[in-house]
This record gives sequence, C-alpha cells and structure tokens, in this order.
Amino acid sequence: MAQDYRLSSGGRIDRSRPIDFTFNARSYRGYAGDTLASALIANGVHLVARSFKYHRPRGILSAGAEEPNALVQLYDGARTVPNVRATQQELHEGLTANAVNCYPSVEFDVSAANQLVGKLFPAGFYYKTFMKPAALWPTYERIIRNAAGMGMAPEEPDPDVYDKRHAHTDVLVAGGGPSGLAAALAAARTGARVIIADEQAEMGGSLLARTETIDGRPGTEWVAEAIRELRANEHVRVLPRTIVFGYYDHDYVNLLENLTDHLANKPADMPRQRMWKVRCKRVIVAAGAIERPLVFRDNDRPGIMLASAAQSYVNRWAAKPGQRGVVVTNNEGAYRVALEMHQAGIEIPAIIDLRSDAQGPWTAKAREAGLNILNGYSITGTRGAKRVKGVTAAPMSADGESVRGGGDRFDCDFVAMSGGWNPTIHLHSQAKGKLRFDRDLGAFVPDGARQNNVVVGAANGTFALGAGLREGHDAGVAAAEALGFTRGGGAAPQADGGDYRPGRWIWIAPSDKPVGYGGKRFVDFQNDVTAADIHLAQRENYASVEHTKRYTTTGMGTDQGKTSNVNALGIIAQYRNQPIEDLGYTTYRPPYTPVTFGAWAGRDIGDLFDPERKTPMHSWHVRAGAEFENVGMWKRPWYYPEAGESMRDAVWRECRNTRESVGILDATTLGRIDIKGPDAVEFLNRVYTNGWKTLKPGHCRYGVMLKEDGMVLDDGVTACLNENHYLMHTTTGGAAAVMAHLEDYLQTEWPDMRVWLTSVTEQYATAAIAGPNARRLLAELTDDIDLDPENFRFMTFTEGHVAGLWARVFRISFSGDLSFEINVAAHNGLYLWEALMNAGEKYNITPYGTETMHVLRAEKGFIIVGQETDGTVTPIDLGMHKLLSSKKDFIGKRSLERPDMKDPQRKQFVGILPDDPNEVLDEGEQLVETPKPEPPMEMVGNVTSSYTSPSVGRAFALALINGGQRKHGQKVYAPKADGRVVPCTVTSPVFFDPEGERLRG
Amino acid sequence: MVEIDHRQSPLAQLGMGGRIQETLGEAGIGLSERGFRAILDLRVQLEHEPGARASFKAATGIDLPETPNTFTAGEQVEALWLGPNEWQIVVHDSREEAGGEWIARLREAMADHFCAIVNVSHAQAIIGLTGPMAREVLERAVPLDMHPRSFAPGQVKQTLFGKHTGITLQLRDETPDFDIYTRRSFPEYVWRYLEDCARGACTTVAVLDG
Repeated sequence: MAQDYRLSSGGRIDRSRPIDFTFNARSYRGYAGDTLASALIANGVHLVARSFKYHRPRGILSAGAEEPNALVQLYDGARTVPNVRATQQELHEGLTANAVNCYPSVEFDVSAANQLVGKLFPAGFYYKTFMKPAALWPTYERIIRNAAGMGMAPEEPDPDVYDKRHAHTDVLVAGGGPSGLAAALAAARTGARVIIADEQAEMGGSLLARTETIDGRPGTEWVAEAIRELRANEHVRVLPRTIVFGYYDHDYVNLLENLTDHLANKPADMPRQRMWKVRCKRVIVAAGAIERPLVFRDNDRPGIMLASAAQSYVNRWAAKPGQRGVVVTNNEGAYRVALEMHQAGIEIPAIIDLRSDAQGPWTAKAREAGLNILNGYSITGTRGAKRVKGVTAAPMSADGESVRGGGDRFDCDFVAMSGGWNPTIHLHSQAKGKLRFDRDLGAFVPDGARQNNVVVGAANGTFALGAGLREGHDAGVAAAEALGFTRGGGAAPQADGGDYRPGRWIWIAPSDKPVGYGGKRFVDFQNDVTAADIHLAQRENYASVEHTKRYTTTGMGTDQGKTSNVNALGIIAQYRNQPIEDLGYTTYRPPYTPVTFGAWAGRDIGDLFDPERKTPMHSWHVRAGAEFENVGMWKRPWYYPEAGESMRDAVWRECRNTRESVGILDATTLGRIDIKGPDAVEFLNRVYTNGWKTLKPGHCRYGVMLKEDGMVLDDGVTACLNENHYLMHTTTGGAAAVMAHLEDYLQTEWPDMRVWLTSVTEQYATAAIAGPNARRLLAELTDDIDLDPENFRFMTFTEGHVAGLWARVFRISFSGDLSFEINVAAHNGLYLWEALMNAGEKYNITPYGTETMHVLRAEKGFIIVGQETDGTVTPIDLGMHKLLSSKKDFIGKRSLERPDMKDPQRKQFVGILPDDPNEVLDEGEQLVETPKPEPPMEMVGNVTSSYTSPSVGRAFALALINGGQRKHGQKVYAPKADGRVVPCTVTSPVFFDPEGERLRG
Repeated sequence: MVEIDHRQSPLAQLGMGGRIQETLGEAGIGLSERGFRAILDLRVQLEHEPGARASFKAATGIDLPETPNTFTAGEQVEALWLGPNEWQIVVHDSREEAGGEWIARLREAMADHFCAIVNVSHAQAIIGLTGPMAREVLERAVPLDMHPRSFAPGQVKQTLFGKHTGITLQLRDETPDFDIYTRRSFPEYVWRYLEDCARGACTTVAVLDG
C-alpha cells in the first residue's frame, strides 16, 4: 500500500491522517485532503475506466468537475452512486469505488474488441444500423444500453434524506477562487448580504495549486484570512462543497451543497445533500476556467492528462503523475507546469510546442533551466496500452497542416497537455448572456449579460491574477453600490504575474497519417467522438453545430462537453473553412454537473409528498378502521370494512343499512362560499344556469354552473341565509377552482357588482344522516328544531341546536333518501359525530364512505361532476334542460346556442343495465351498437359510473351515449378485453324511487 | 345555550400533548398549537367606504392597517392586512362565543357600509413557531425572504408553504415569534413539514404549550 508517487513534502494533504480505501476491489492508502483521483495517482494508478463506446483504457484527464473519463460507481447497495467524477470525490476512510463501462474488469474488458472493429462504429452508427424495423428499436436500445455501460442506478429506496431550502441574497458569488473571494470581500464590507459558494472542500481555486503572492504574502494565507473575515460577518454565508449548478430566469440560482459525501461515518440524522434555491439581486460569476485537451493521434491513453491537472496533483496533493512526463502545448501556461514538475524531481524529456516562435516569461525560465523545448513541433503519436509509454514528435510545416519526417521518440510514463483555456461560461450562458469568440484567447468569453450578473476573473477571460483580483473586487463594490450599499473600505488585493500569452490554435495536431487513419484523435473523451467523426458529420452536411452535436454525440453525456466543445467547433470551422465565430455554439443548460434526484425531491416525498387534508372527524374514521380515498388533497373515508369483509360486502351493508334505517356520512369536505352584498342574487343569476330571484331566506336550490364554453364546471346547493346573503356549496374537488372562477368574474368582468365572496369551506363540519330513521335520530338530539315534515320541508334549512351545539341543518339529499345535513362549527365536528353515533346506536346507524355515497346517488341518477362530466358535457347532454333559464343571461349560455351543442347525436346521459345482473361493467368502458370480433368498432359512448347495490338488486351503470336520451330500451354492447361481449340495455338513469317519495317524505 | 365546551382543536388529532416541554432548552425551534381565538374576515373597499375606518376603530380601538403586509394590534384585537380590501381580524379571546359576539359587534358598527364580515374562527389552525432557528427553518418551507431586513416584527405575509398554497405568517416580535395561520385541514402537514425542515437545518424541535 505504498504511495510510490507521493512526494515526501508539500501539498495540502495531512500525512498524519492516512485513509484506507478500495478501488476496483484493491486496497489503497491516501491521506486526508486527497480526492479519489489524487490518491489513485499517488498510488500510480492511471487506468481507471474504459471508454463508453470502444472500451479503450482511460486514465484521469483532469483534476476537477470537467472530468470525462474517471467516472466511478461509488459504494454499493442502496447508497451506490453512479458516474461520480473521481476528481471531485473527497477521499474518506472505507470509501469503495469501481470503474464503470467495463465487464468483467477495467484491466480485462471483453468489449474492448470494439476498438479493433472501430471502423464499423462511425458517427451515426446506431441511427444508420438500427433503423429497421422500427418496432424493434426498443429491443435494440436495451442491448445498446447494456453494451454502452455507464453506471448503475441503485435499485433499493434511497436511505438518505435531503434538505431543500430557499434563500435570498443581495450578492451571490459563484466560485471561491481569487476573483470570487475578492468580490465577496468587497461586497460584504458594504454590509450587503452575500453568499459565496465553491464546489470544493477548500476555497481558493487556482491558488491551491499554484505558488502565488497576494498583498505580499502567500496566496493560500490570503485565502485563509479572507475566509476568516467572511465567516465572521453575520450577513455572509460561506458555502464550501457547494456547486452553483443552475442559473434560471429572474436571477433565480440553484446550488447543491454536499454535507456527508465526504464523511466515512455518515451521521444518521444529517441530510446527505442540500439544495439551495436562491433568489439573488446580483450574481457575480467567478467560475474560473477549464483547460482544453489537444487533439492528436491516440491522445486518450492513460497517463495523458491536462497540464493544469498535473500541476494540481503535484502542488496541491503532492502526487506525481509519473516519473517522466512529456509536456505538449500550444501556449505558454504549460511551461510553468513543466518547470514546477522539474523542480519536484520529475524528469521532463521534452516540451513539444506547436508554436514555432515561443515567447514569454515562463518559456524563458524553462529555457534557462535547460529543458528540451521543441518549437514548431507536433505530437504525432503515442505508445502504450494501459499506460502511455512514449510519444513521437515531428517538426511541422509552416502552416501547421503537416509534419516532416518520422519524428523523434520520447519515452515517458505520462503526458501533460495544454490546448489553451476555456472560461467557464456555463452560468453566464444559462442566464442567457451572450458570448463572443476571442481570437487571442482561442475561446468564447462573456459578452453582455441579460440578467443582473457579471463575470469576473478567468471565467471572463481575465487570466492574470492581479487583474482578476481587481475585476472581482470592483464587481463586488459595484454590485453592492447598485443595491444602495456604500463602500466599506479596503482596496483591491494586489498581485503580479499569472500573465497569459495567446497560443497557436491548431485544432488537430498533424501527424504522418491523415485524420481517420493510423489511430484515433479523440475530441470528446466521454462519448468516444473523434476528429474523424466530426469530419464525417461535415461530409454528410450536418452544418449546424447543434446537428453535429446530436449526430456525433460530442458535447453530450454527464460532462456535457466541458473539455470538448470548443475543440469540436475548431475542427468544424477548420473543415468548413469558416471562422468559429460564424458557427455559433451549442446551448448551455443546467445542471452544470449532475444533480441527484433525491436533492430535487428534497423532503417532498413519502408522507410529505402532498398535503393531506383531514376533517375534524378524521381520528374517528381511523379508529373505525375506514379505508381512505384521496379526493383532491382530502383524505375521505371510502368505506368502513368490518372484520373479514370485502369492499363489495362492506358497501352493500352500508347501502342496505342506510336505505333500511339510517347511515351517516362525513360531508365536511364540500366547498362553501359566503356570498354577500346587494347584488348577490344577480351574481348568482349570472353564474348559475337557473334563476335565483325567487329563492327566499331559509330555502335552498340546486344549481349548475358552466364555463364560457357551455360545459359543466360545478354543481351544488346554494342557500339563502338572509336578504343579500347566500351560502354556496361546491363539490369537494371543485372548491378552489370555483372560488377562483367567481373572483375572476367579480374582479375583471363585473367590477361594479356589489358582492363580497369569502371562503368558509373550513368553518363548518358536516354530518349527513340519511335513511328512513334519520328524522327519528335527529329528534333525539334537538329540542329547538321543528322536524315536522310540513314545517321543515325538503330543500329548506333551519338553525337551532343539535347535541347542544349551534347547528345549521339542511334538508337536502344526495342519497335519494330522507336526509339531513347537519353543519356545526368545525371544532365541534367530532363531538357532533360521536353524539350522532351514540344516539343512533339503537337504529344501527351505519357510517358510510364515498363509495356508498356514489352508489346511493347513482341509484337516483344524480351526477358527479368529474365522473359523469369531463369538461365536454353540457347540461343538455345531462338532461337538465329544465335548469336552463330562458329569462336571463348566464355564463355559457351563448355557447349552448351553437348548432352542434343541440346536435341530437351528442353523447347523452343514460342508465345501463347489463343483461347479466352480476356483470359489473368497468368505469370508462366503451360501448358499441354493432359488436365485431375485434377492433376497430364504432364506439357510441362510454360507461361513467358502474356499481351493484342491494336496492337495485343487480349491476347497473351510468353512461354517456350518442343520442342516448332517445334510445331507452335499445341494446348496446360492452366488448371486453378478453374477447367477451356483454349485452346491455339502455334505460333511464334513475333506478330507485323515481317519484322521489323517500327524499321528500 | 352552550354550556360545555366541546371544541377539539385542529391539531389535537396529532396527539402532541405528551411531548410538551416547559422551555425551549437546547432546541433550535419551538412549535406549539396556539389556543382558540375569534377570527373574522373583513372585506371592505376603503376608498368607496371612507367612513369604515372610523367605524372600525370605534368598535375595536385599533386602526385598520393600510400598509400592505402589516398588522395593527390593540389589547385584545389585531387586524392583519391580507389584501387591498381584505383583513383578518383576530381577537385573543378563547371563549367559544367570542366569534359570534364580535361578528355581531362589528356588523353593527359597520352596518352603514358595504362590507362583509364573516366568522372564520373555526376555519383556521394556528401554529406558533419560535426559537433561534425559526427563520432558518421557515426558509425551507417558504419561498419568501425571512431575513430580518425583509421580514420584521409588525409584518404579516401570505405565502406558499411546501405544497400548501396558502399560509399567513405573522411576526410579533424579534424573539422571533411567528404565528402561522393555516386552513383548518392543513396543520398536520405544516407541523410535520416544519419538523422535517428542522431536521434539514440540523436542529431539534421542542413542543411548547400554546
């Protein structure tokens, strides 16, 4: 377990805290402060993955979020996480990780044969090969997915909890590097509220991997002091391990904070991650820059990495990428890396520089140090299977298009390459900011923000440290001042150096073989897209970069092309002989790096997935063993099974006992709207189809309301409480929509009407008692309500006391039986219910749920909005002609005048009796008049409700059938999925007590 | 006529009584169910009914707040601004008859004005939220800015809460001490959501007496 590649000193690791971990079933040791990637490199492990398509051996390319290759499957079982970038995963004791994309192992992968037949897998291979037959695509897709690999999602429920929260800030700083810290300090000193977030455990960004001086002291000391100052400020939140991943409209920015992924022992009660949903007044993007790989022949061998990654591993983690490293570059930055590695004792056999005339301070220092610099050379190839063993380099022609001679061979065990730098413009672009191609930098840079954001430092193409610090500082001051805060003192931090010299932008390093021959020149490592694939797409005229992206898959996958996009654009531009700036670029979308579903869901799962509304009697229903049904957000008792009872048995018992004696229903959930004002009756006249002017205090009336299109919106009973004062009842599910509909009309269409609406849904608890003994039962609990049928008539209400409670009792009926709906103040609901249950014992009072309620009303042919109606049903279709007043206007009236609304062939409301009395049709079932052995058949309608009940004594159903009102007595058929055809007869929808003697009795 | 109080509070079904502590202790937040109050909903368009201000004050002793998202408070009565023509009148009187009495009193005082005064005493549940982490915990459930610069004592705000479309938050003092008014059928969701938010904030909950 020796860390053979660990430097004996230096780095930001804690050598006193060794950490044991397992990768691909082998044990290794690293130190606190390591990432999984740095620990593997310290152990000399570069082969960490197989590529997606060709299963080529792959190593660690980068040291950050941009990593395309080193994806691992973390842990196992329920906590397993797929496709974690080893470069971002902090090492902890007992960490286990495995390579993805390989079977049976990363060392020996059977699919690696793909690379031998790689010519057969060009861009668009799947589209071209698996076109026909189209029906087989799902099968093909499954096989391709398995072959392609990537990580595996856990199959067990997620054992972790996730936190999700909102936050507001004056200034959000995305990125804790030098520019970001300077911005946060400047803004915070004004008293503004500041959030600064950085994806890494340690803030400091590039300063952690480089030796810099700020304000005369080491950069890392300056960082520590900045963090101390920020943490001490009560208006500042410092969020390490927090990635700013999404920038949406209105400066709404989402962050993901890691809380336990770096811990060996995950605290049981601590969330694994926290999603921050931040509303910002100003956003300062200081996201740094990502180095580009160079595209050359076989540039993907393990050990070939970005120069900045090599620099980070050496300086920050004291881990040597190898003993002997060739540096390949097209710009000055890599010279500094070469020098630092040289000083760390790593042999540098050559610096291959595509630039023919290299100038610059670091170039000069490298020359002074005697390093072997090959200017105007190209890297023409690499050797090695599971680890790079050497490279060849040859001098280029003046135009950089070709090389001369076979080249020189250099042995090495790693390669550090630099193809230039891409500012991390993702957040700026997600915020719809524009980009400009900077020819000197060879990269896109921000060019005007659309929201309240600004980009600073390397993310803005400002690569010099001093300039970046100043840019950050100024942006922090400007953001705070724009919000009315005044400058809090403190000058911009000072630093020299970090100057950056433009490079030579050769998009494909030439070799002795043309593109497409003699090896692969990878552009997109994660998706195995080569320069030849991009050329092929151009030959096939995928001229748009968006088309090339989708055709070749370059820029797709979990890394979204962080290292590949600009190289791909360069290659397209070169091939098409067009300037890059004319090509445009692909769209940047959130998230910047993958976000686990658990974090999106947060706490809105399980019991908290949706609010559960409960009536005051809920606890009684639970004790009574009710099964519950969701109605809107309400939990309503569905039925109350007794021991051993099936649902059908329970519903029959509830129906029979109600019809024979008395049943009780919790009707609390009905919507209720208090309507008051001198224009209240006119208002009702306009929103309901029937007339209301004649309704006297103490009386109730059933009403149907329509939408503008003439379709039924809701129905219910409205009572006249007093002159100019009404109480409207709505359906349970429709309450909120009806209130909104009414307020909408009142506020926007009829603002002159003098009417106030107040929701009183929750003010009352309602117990509906129904059945022949309902009156007797109620009589036992009241001494001030006159229950004489001549005095307390159907469709009236009265107020008095029930069980000693103030009550408003309606004599209305949804069951078709003698029924009283007793309303009391909600806090008294449970007491009322229990009093009724106690007093009703001698009548065998039976609580019934929504299922029995549905059956009882269906026996009477009463509709349920949402069951018999679906937004396409008019009152005419339902046979409610009598409810359509001709003497006044009402919402939807004009629509009902349209000719097709009067079409006699519209679907109309009927009853259905299956010929077999035991055949209960399925709700939603289609009905035909001419059955055929198999579909298609002409459908004439559908079943809307279907039950069996003791009162009807058989199965029965409600349905909507073309021209049904004239078809009573005719046959229809229900063809079943199993081939049976059920013959039925169309009837009136009223199956029980058609004269209404019971409910009026 | 009402002699015995049969009321059951909206959160009684949650059965938190046994968990009640005297003080907050180490907990980051304290949750309680507030006792019964008389609550009225008042709708009136003041620019059309200018005399309503005086009528209201004569009956209650307090002004109707006209600054959005604020409340006024007297000894017993508070008026919470809910909208340009809507207020919630809260009377700190736990008697069952209080709602009816105040309806009658206000309706009489405002009889000359076009307005609606509706008893909603039973339509609401009231959860008390206090403790040093109260703002941090609320920020997990509520998209509004909870910072003292944005939400100060004397303010009242209506907002989303988790997936519950409407709660009213009233901040009485800088303890901080919030009253959360929810519709009567929702408080279990609100209570359990707050408990989960506390877990998300890595703090604990004390159940306090309302």
